[in-house]
Amino acid sequence: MKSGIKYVDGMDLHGVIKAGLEDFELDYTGCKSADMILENGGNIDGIAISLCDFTDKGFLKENASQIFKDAMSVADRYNAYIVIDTENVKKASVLEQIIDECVNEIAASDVNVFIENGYTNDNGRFYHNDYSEGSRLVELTDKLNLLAGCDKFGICINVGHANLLGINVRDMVRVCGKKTGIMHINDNDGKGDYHQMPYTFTTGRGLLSTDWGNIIGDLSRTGFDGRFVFNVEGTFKRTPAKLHKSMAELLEAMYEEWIESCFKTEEYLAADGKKIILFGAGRMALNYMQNWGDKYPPAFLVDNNSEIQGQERWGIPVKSPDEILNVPESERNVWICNMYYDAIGAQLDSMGVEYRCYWDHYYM
Amino acid sequence: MLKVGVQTKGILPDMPVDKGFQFIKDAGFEKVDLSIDTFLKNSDLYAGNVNRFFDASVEDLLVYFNDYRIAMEKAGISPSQMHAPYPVNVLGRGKQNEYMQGNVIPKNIVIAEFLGVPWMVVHPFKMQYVYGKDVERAKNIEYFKMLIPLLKQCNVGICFENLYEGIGQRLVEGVCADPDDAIWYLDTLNDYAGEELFGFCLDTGHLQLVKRDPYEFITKLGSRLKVLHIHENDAIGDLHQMPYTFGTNESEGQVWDRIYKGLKHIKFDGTLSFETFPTMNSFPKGMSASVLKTICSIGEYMAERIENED
Repeated sequence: MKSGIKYVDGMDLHGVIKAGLEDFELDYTGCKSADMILENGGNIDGIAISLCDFTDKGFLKENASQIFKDAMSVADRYNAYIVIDTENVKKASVLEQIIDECVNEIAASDVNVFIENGYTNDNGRFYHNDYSEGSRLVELTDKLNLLAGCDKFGICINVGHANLLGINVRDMVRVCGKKTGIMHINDNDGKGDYHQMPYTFTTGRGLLSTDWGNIIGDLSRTGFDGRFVFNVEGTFKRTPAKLHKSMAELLEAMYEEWIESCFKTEEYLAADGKKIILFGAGRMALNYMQNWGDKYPPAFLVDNNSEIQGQERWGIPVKSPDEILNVPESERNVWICNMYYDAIGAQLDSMGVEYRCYWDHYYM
Repeated sequence: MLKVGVQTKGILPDMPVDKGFQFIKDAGFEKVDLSIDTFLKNSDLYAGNVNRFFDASVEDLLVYFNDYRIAMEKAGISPSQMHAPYPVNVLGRGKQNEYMQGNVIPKNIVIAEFLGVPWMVVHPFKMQYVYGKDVERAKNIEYFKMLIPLLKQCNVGICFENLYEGIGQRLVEGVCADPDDAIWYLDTLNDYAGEELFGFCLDTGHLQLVKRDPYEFITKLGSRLKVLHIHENDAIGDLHQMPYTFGTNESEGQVWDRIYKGLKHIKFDGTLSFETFPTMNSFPKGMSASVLKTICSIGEYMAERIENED
């Protein structure tokens, strides 16, 4: 799994790369920037092509297959993938036609092709097209893989696009399953395709508009091991170049948060021979039991509420936090399962107990 | 160069006090806005649920806040401002208003003095939608005039803030949303005080909601502007998000350049203080340190821009 970023004209490449985002996806029409990216120490990881550029009034342009072949050879040169942006193309048959004409080139190359969920924008109104639904994308990629006689077609889920159409992104993630190779991470308010920073669209005082936690959690459960590509062009166009490094650092921290707090949860739970101890016996512990309890049952729970110490929850004994110290340090795998992470963390620190935090917002 | 600060809301009292201030310092901030309103939440006050935190004696409150003083000193951070609980006046809640005006606010002034806070933000009464500006002015002056002796005694100033009122699904101009209104309040009260005990807190997000040009607002206020609440929104809801996360190009969202220009013009020498606690709720908790660092970087950028304005 890795992170990447969509290149934007005017981007502070040096700062973005320094922030840890080295793999760039760039528009085929912007390939002239490739040298600049490479000179700054970045990699060309993906080439985005707009299917709309291949059509004229809904019909394929005469040179459409040649444009696609050229894009393939550019991607091949950089050992990059291709992502097909399907915005404003209504019919899936357009893509099928191109692929049919390029079958030999696709079969002969190492380039993987990902089809992105799109929409049509009609005078500012967003509508579904043939590429908007997860099930349609699965159907289409199966068909294209059959047509090309290989397994090079996959799906790119663009969260912002799905939000514009009111699509259930969690279900889309589940339906597309392992066929999803790229996640285009960006957000909007449901009214415009802003390609802005995730986690900043809220109502009230920080109530998230997009259910990022569960989307990432479902990706983890489907075994997603592709690329998280931050295509937040809006953020980088809106923000002064001097702040691009800071914004990129925040995006990289987001990727690391998803990996550390969600994708690696099972790896950390599976620590050989260690006894899992949950600090907390309430709703978050129940969430743990529902999601992980069968595979990784806790040895016991601890809780500061003395009234429930000595009782059982879901067949697991509830003990005093001091009981943690009776388990040898090398055998403990302690997890805070309570929203008061800071206070409990301070308590465990004072006891000299190492711990991890269980983040239930990935598993609701 | 101007210093950069952030409110403690979203960090304290959730985190242990010493860790919280260190957390803010580690992100790069030199100043804090002490969110004392977290001890008596506005949502509770609007709902009429008043907790008893400020029933404690001044002596006991100062013992409690001594931890803040020690932790700030230890972290090497100091307060640029403090936010008192609000609203101080809710229409039709006589007893609650009496408690807020006669107990909570005076105790907050003493706490501010104890913590070395130069300016405490207190929301003036919002009454103009129902009663008009004349009644609103009379009631505000009547109350805030009474606080003058205590402010003098404690050497603490009060800042009024540009506010809006939520009417149905709309946010409309409230008290001090008009710069001339704000100036009238401050000049009137300072005349009564015979010294500058009242200043202004400019909330950049509230400016967006009622469509006021920042440069014009700031330059009208001039040296009366003492503290800032920096944040951004979609111009519809009071979202308190980090700057530059709305819109898709330089011409959208808050016109930050107009703010930089205005602050330079008036030779603002306060703190670039961010009121962005909802980011602590919206981003995953594991990212809090990164989010704060980003906000601090934005503040440092702003300081540089203001410094270099022509």
